[in-house]
Amino acid sequence: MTTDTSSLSLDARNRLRTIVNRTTDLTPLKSVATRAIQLAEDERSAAMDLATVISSDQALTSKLLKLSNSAYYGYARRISNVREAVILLGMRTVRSVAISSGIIDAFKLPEFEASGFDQDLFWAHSVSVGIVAEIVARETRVARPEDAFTAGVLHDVGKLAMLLCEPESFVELIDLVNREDMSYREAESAVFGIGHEHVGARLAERWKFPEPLVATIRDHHPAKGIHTIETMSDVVGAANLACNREGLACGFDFTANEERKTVQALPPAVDSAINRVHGGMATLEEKARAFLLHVTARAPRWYAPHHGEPDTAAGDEPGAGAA
Amino acid sequence: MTPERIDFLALLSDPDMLQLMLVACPDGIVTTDANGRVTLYSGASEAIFGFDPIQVLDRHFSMLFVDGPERALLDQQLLERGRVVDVEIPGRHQDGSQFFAAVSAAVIRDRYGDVAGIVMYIRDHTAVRQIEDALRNRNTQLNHLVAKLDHMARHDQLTLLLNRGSAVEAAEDALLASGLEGMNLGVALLDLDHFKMVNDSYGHLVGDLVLARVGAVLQKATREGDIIGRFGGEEFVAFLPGADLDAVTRFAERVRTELENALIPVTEDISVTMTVSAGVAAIPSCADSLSEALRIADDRLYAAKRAGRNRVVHSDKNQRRSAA
Repeated sequence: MTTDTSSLSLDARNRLRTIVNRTTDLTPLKSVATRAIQLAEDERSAAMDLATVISSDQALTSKLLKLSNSAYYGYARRISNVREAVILLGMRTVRSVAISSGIIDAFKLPEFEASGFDQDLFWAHSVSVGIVAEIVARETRVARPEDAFTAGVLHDVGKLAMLLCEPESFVELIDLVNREDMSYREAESAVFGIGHEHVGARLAERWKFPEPLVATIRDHHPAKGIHTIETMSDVVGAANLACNREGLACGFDFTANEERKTVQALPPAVDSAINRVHGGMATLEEKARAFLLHVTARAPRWYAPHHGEPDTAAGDEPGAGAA
Repeated sequence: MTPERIDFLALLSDPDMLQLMLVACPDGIVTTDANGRVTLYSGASEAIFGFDPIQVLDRHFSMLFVDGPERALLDQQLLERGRVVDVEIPGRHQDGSQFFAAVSAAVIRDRYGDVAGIVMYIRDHTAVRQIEDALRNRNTQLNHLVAKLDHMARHDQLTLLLNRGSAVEAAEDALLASGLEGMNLGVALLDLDHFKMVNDSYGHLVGDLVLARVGAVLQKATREGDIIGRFGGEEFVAFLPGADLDAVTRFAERVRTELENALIPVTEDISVTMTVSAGVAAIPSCADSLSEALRIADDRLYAAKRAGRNRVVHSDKNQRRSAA
């Protein structure tokens, strides 16, 4: 199975290939992440392998244990080693943490201040989408919640690859979004001629991600919109729209800019899943922040406070606003 | 020399004062010669042992104690270290009774280093022993009480099953103990059908009675190591370590039929029959964690209710779940 890029021009296809090749050269994925991705799902020994693989990486182990014992999982019992985490949180959960944190680590790009594209907010958006996708998957049962989380976290990874390989073009793209009021997708096709979903899907293939994950990254912007939730792509696509609606945009702080928020209608399952969480979207956003805090071992920059959230983070918001 | 030091030496050299100190000492003082024969037997000793000085003096000091391992230990320690501190030995009273004597003793040597005798300080430890025993008893009672409170905190008083939190904790313990490769756990959630009707028609006391009976039926259906709890209201949970989906389904089915055929007397001449709906799941075939397994079992329980109650649901036939 390969990503279908036949709709792209020859020129765009070449550009796509160059970006993917350069990215895999520049951001070697840690072996732990690679092995976590390739672990057999159904084999009994996989859980053992996963625990062994993660235990061999001290940094990842410490992140995992911090996350396990934090309010993120709200687990009463103290989890003191990887084996216990795998048993109590589940192998798929631990695996999705290992993969996500491996990729977040791999893309530690040089700061990109002037562009108005904020990498902290990029991951803030991605993890928020992952968390919303997880609960939507749980509600609709069309995909495993942990897989939906991983797919959500990685759905926009193509954008970082494009930033990494062609920073000048990327600055141009951001400029179009910020100054010309273009949508990201319009700007992207104007500057690059390819969509980040194709780059992301290609990358995922290179990393030997399972096919449903590749397909989800490729299809998270369905041309005809999302009306029902039937596939994991629908789950992640809808979670993406839900986060954009709340102002949790990718790399930009649109929380104060009503006009830039998505107004697209979402399948009702999305909001019923969100409302089933005590505290709704604010709780999920807090979880996303907690996840990044533990996985990157530093407090991430975050969106300006909104929807009645206490005004605690006002001081440390850099001028990431789009307006 | 300081004035205090002079006074003290003066005191020691005053035989009257030494005698007074000997007489006034509340501990019994006994000294012996090199052969262990008593040479001094103070007034306090008299009060402790009850013997007159004439019965004791020039006799071997062992007459004051009961022969036994404690005595042997005293002798041995005196021989090895030259002294003992607060050794508890059964003492022999003049009236034939025994008591606990705390003995400190030292071997006295003359200026050539030869043994000149032994000096012993003896206290009656009976009262201390009594207090210690009383404390020990009280401690045992407290431990019982703590265990009972702990039991109460972990169990549901009505059904005597584990409560929700403790049942889940016990299941986690079972998972952690089983290790990564042998992880097999059946999970069943069971909910009484139309329980509210029992409460409404016969009152809550009867409702409680029914719950207790259901608890007993569940308890009877389990094996050693199975974990049964009251999950809340009229909902029960069973965690079966080592059970796969088939096994836990059979278990729930067994409980269901058992209950269906059981008459639960609610008054002297009225009995009711209860039915139960159940959702079952298993680790690892359905879920890879306890919370996921419980969620699946809960969904299936509601599917069982929707499908008309009094049944066990063990799959998501009408649910979609693509294996991603």
